[in-house]
Amino acid sequence: MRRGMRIIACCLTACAAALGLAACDDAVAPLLDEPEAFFALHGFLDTAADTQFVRVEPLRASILDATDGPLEAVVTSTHLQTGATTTWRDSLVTLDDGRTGHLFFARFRPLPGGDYRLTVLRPDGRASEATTHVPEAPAVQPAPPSGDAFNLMQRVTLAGLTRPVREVDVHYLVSSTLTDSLRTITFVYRDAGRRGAQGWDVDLFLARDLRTIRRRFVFANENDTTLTFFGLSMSFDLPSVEWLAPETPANIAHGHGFFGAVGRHTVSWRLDAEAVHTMGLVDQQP
Amino acid sequence: MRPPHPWWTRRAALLFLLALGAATAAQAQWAALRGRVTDGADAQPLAGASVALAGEAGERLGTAADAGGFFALTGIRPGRYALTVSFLGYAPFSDTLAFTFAEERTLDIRLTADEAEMAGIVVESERRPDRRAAGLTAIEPSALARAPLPDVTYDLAGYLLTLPGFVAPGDRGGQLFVRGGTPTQNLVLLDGMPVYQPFHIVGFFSAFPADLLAHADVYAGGFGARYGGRISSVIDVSTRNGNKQRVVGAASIAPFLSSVRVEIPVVRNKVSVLASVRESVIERLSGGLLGREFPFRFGDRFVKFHAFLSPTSSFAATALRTFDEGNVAGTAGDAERRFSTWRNEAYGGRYTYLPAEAAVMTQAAVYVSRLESRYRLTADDERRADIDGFNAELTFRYLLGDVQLHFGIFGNTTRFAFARNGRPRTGNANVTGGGGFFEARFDLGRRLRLTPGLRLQSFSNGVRTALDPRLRARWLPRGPASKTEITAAWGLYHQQIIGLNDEQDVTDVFTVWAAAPERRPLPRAMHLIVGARRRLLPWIELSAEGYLKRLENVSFPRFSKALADDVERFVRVAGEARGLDLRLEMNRPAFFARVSYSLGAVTYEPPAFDADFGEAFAPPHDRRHQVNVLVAFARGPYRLSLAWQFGSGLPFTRINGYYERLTLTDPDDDAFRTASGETFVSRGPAYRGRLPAYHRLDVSARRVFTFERVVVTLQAGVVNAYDRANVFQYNFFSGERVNQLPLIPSAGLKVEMR
Repeated sequence: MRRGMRIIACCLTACAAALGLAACDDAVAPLLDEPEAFFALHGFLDTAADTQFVRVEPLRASILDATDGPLEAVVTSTHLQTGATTTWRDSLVTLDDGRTGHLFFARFRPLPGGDYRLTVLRPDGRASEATTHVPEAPAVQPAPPSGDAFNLMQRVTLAGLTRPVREVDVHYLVSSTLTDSLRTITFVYRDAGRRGAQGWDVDLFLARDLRTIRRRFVFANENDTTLTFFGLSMSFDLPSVEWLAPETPANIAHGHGFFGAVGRHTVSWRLDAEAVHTMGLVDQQP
Repeated sequence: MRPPHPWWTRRAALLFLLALGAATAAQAQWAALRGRVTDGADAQPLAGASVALAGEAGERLGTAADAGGFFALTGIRPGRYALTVSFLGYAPFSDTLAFTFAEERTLDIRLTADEAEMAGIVVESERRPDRRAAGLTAIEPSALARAPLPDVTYDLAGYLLTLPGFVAPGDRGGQLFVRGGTPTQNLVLLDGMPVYQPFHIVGFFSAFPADLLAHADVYAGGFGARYGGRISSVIDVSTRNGNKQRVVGAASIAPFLSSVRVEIPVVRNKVSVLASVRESVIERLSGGLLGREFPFRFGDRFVKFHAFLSPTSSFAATALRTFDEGNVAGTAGDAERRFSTWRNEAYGGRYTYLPAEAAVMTQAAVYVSRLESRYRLTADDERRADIDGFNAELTFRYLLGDVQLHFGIFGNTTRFAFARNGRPRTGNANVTGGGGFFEARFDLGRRLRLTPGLRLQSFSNGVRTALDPRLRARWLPRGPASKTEITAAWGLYHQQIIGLNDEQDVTDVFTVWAAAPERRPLPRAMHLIVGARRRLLPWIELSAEGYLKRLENVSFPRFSKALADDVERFVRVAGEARGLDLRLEMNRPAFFARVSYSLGAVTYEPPAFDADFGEAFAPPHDRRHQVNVLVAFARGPYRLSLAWQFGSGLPFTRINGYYERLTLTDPDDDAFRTASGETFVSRGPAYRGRLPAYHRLDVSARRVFTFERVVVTLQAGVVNAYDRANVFQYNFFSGERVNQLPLIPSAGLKVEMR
């Protein structure tokens, strides 16, 4: 009996101790003591722009805390190939909902083919970082034109590209044989092309474009019927890989958001003289 | 391509049949005695009644009546025997029987309550500790009265939560985790019928009230070969039959639940009907009574028809319907958001027969089970998931002297449907399965009992056949008089029907049942349990049980670390649950106490390719430490019960903070410079944080007034007596903390006509 009582006493003591320890704290600590992410950053580098922009927002401790306060952060970008570093400047912008946001900007034009690292640094030394590669202009591989005068076309391969280009425009540089008034006529091919064995293939419909050029071109008079062809070029935007899955970026460390780049490129090539002749143009390509 | 059935499975089946035939033939020349044991007052089967034959030459044979009151003794050599049938609280039945060669006898034995003993029988029966073996707790209905509830009736759910290893993430939601297993890995049977989501939205209650319970076998693991289809645990509930002598009934009212029960003898001593209706009232009373809304509605309907067709056969039909609805987060008046509904239906019929020509108890059963789940996340996003199952089984229980064989065949077909508004994701599927099991119980001497088993399951959907060996063992170091008992269990388990649930959000109890992915390994588990029990004093028992569950191919929801509150997809993880349960139980005539401590750990290993999970992590039901104290005093018509529960904090994912996500898809669109975005949460590593510890004291007192044919029970109690602010959920998106029940007083009245 005495032994049983001792056991009961031990158990009750243990329970009381557990209760004493457990009763101390009932607070939930939802935030990490050592957070792993610090900023949300949204923006991209644009080879066609002289000024680059990125929105920066520190991670908030409360979902309700959307106060407009100063942002203690230093934003820099580094061209990794050369080590050249640019410090970005903060500007306050009014957002669509009336609050203010931090839009950082830097005046430089990113170099195609360059790798850039954007760093958003807190005063305590913790930083969010994002890296991106600015797409360089691919080599152009024009295939021999095919077809007759009514459906002449040419396949142009942007060598080595495995992802789509966007906003493809094709530019014809032509003039009236009689007046020599040089004009660039642009055809919008939009998100043309498809993935091919050597790269990204874009089919140009030369005969169709020429018929449109003839309709649009303002000739001097009835005798002015012949066009001189000075060259052909194609411009397009080449987004960085981050644009393929913008909601799940893999290039941002210790942060969230989106950081990418876009290369805006123009490539040109010499059209085969026989094709120019087939289209009824006078070949004056350099 | 491998054949669906390996050669050795066919060979094993053949050997089994040959052995069975030989054993049966050897027994056929001796006499046999079979029959049933019932309560003479209401014809209730007396499960566990002892049936003993003592021969003139000193030979002894014995067995115990099964859940239906049936028993059989075979291998009786010719001669005169003294028959004694006894059961606690009843006057023993004795007779002298003479057997000749191959004689078959059938007896219908009705025991009458021993009035002299009945005064103490309540206390006496409650003194019996839960019968336990490796992983098993066999619960008698009287035990349920020890757990204080805010209700005048008792319920299995409230009692289970006082046992070590049983974890509920909160006092609502109807989710029960057993030794590391998730709710959808638990097999819950009511009279053999699977019930997919049997626990009510308020965690004290289930579809299993004490008034209906005959007994419940709860396997926290290591269950035998007669159970299958789940990989964690089994809760096998048997209901009692209606009174076959007279009309009786009961009605009760309490702040949470009201109930009515009626029992009708359709044919006296032969056929009875038991019906029960329970319905919540808390959603109507809470505003005025508790001063806060408690917007949960739940209830159940139960009917059981039982008939003794002959002294050796019976038929039972059972029907159950349950309903639960509410916003589990407890937000009143927000019926358009996060609103859960589930409805169970289960219907079954069982025919039990003890044929005269063989010592085999035959049981044929068919069951139909259905669960409808709805979850309205937002006004325009309602998710629907249905599961319909049909099960049929034919089982046999051979009694060959000291060896008992239990085997059978089964088949099932299950239909699933899932639809989600607002998103084009709808699915319908069917799976079928079938197989057989075999279980034998050998007593090797007086110390060792082995129960090996084998379960063979075939599945559709290109899933390979599973062969699950099982073994349970009991060792008494000093024979039947031993104060120490060692038990062990081991087994392999497979599960074809899986439940997909957002385990990371305790307020989202919506479960999509589905077939395991086609042509991929099934979820499976290996259980190992070793336990020891020792009687320190005649009234004190100490037990310890260690367990290990290895899990493979378990589906687990994967959240993006950055994206919003939505399951990105399910990944297959491996895991391990291990732990040690210690239990000290004290039984005195007027005093019962149980103190238990459970040390456990559940870890999941994410797929190697999924870096976001990082290393092994503890899932949200990993409760490391659990202490349960249950104390019950009884003195005359008074009873006082106290239950204190402590659980260390459950894992949750802590966050880095919040941010606004802008949409950038077009390099020519500079709207991002001034756009306002959608708020997202930045999650940290999965489940590295812990919620605060949980603890609560519930107290209940009752007074019973006994009249000639009426018993009136008054109950008063309090839930969460010291008003602990136990966290139920912290909502990252609203910053809102939802606590579990505060201090709630309760009072109840029950009137029972007997």
